[in-house]
Amino acid sequence: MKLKITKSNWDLLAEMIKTDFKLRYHGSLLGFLWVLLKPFCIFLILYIIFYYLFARGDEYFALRLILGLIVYSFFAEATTHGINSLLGKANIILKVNFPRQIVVFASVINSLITLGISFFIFLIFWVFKPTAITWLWLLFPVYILVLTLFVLGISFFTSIISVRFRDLQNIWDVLLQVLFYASAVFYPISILPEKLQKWIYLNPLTIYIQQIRQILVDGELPDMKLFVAILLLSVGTFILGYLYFRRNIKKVAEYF
Amino acid sequence: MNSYVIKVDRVSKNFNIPHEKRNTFKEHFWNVFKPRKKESFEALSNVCFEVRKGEWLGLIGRNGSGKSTLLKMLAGIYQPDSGKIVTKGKIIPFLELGVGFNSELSARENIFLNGTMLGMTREGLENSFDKIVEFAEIKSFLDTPLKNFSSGMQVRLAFAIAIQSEGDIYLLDEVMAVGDTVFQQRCLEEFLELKENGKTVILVSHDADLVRRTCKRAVLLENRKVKRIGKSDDICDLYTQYNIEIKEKIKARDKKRDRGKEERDGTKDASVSSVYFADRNGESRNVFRRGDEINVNIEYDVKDGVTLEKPVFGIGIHNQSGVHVFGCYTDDLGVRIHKIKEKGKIAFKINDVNLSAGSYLISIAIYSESRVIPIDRVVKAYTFEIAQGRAKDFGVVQLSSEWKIQ
Repeated sequence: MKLKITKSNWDLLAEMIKTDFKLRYHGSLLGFLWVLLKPFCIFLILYIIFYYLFARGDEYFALRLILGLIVYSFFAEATTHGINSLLGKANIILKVNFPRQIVVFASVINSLITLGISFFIFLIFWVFKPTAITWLWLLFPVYILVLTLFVLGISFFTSIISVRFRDLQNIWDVLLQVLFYASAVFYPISILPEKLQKWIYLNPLTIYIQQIRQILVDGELPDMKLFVAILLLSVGTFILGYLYFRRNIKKVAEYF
Repeated sequence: MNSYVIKVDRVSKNFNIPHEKRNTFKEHFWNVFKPRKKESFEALSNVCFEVRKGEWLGLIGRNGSGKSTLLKMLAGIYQPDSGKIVTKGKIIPFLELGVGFNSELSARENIFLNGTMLGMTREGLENSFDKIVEFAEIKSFLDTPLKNFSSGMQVRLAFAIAIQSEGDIYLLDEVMAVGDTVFQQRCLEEFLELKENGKTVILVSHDADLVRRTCKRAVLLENRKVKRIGKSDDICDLYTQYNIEIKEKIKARDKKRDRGKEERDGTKDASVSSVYFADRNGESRNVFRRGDEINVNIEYDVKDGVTLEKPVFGIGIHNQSGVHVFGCYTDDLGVRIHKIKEKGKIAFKINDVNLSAGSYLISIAIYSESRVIPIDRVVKAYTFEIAQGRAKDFGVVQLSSEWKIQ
């Protein structure tokens, strides 16, 4: 299948994103406000619980927690939607022919919107406890872009696989729980035993979270070696995922 | 004109149906050593045909003959297992109307959602927005959520959007079977406009008359294979004929089962053993067109040792609503039979049949001379069909007639 991206493909992508977004909180009393309210409430809970345990005199603990939460939530939400992207649109996929990649892109981009909105919460807290704004802040979108590529790559695999192995969704939920505790979202890495401190960087999500904290809170240039590592990982996952998706998508219609 | 826009070349498609559905890891792990029983179901086998630009091709066949699978492959939703499908130009599938409609969203939002799904651009939709709204007759409900629409309104909206999509090849799957008659008429008009604009259309239907009216050529699918390709008149006759045969088979089976209930009475000194219809050339068939000659061939057996004096044969024709359309006895037409014994044949010839399209039930009777005591009377036991012509028939009979402007 040759992929020709036409104007109508872009419009379809835009319509799908809009629809998903509109429907997410459709019918709820607060509606759109939940996009802001939910991460804020989760943040509040974690802050109350962990401030006394892990703050250890870090005056920027709140900012670090928010950033960790934003990045983790983006990853969790986007991959969860990604797994479901094909199955959830089965009724359309069996009836019209359009580049199926659009479905995966739409689901991930939707989570990107949530991330953008959650970043406002960070900015609100930042106003109360400002850190220095340096040119390093420009790196933040770069990190998010690289992470998005990573998520897309994963979703290209999981969306196809979950059509035939429906359990993948449940397994992924459990995995995300593990990842939450293994990504230093709510604790400083320094509290871990020294042996563990190295291992935790094998989790790419930890690297994203830690380095984003470094650029936005500490104003330090992060370890570029690690950055290149996650960059390569993301691009690699994206390319392999895309190829896998393209190879298998045509066959998958029969298994819905 | 010889260049094709669709070429289906020896296409086959199998679906694997696992006997036990294993969709979860547990099932996969617990049964890893057990080979999975798979049943391969052949959906299409070695299908070949070509469609030229601007042509309307009918695709008919009974349920499960592979029509929809074929259409889905043309639309690119399924891939053929072997063989090749080449298509040139943009394909607009009308496999189902209102794909991706979301009942929570308003009509306005759904127009853009559904439209882009069908491959239109937002700009294009904005341009044809008024046309869509007008066609669907939903002007005052534009911002109403779709869930508050009646199903008829939803279908109208869906059709209005779909017809706006500009393509080269349209795949229509029984879409005209929805909506009220006024709406159906308008749909048909829209489709005929496509015809005038030189668009290629593949029309899937089991309504032979629709195919006959709209398509020049047709493909008959039977048991996942192409049974025949040809002029739609011939293909539709074949299809109708084929359906009658199946009906007859079912009837014969039912007859065996309810032998006692059969509407048949008489003294049984003689009995009608077989009745079949034939055309001018003596070829046996059940489908005729208006103006055709129909020969009703009746074979009878007379009880051993019995000789019937001056019997009278009769025929009755009823239409589907049970109206007695026609009846005639041998002596009415001055035919006197002296006597019959053992077995014999008699034929009733209709010179040019001028009945309206539809199926007809035939009764045959043998009476004694006085026409009081039936010897054998078989009521509404045989069927022939009059195929629909290009125009719709009104009424029971089609009188040989003409209009004269004076």
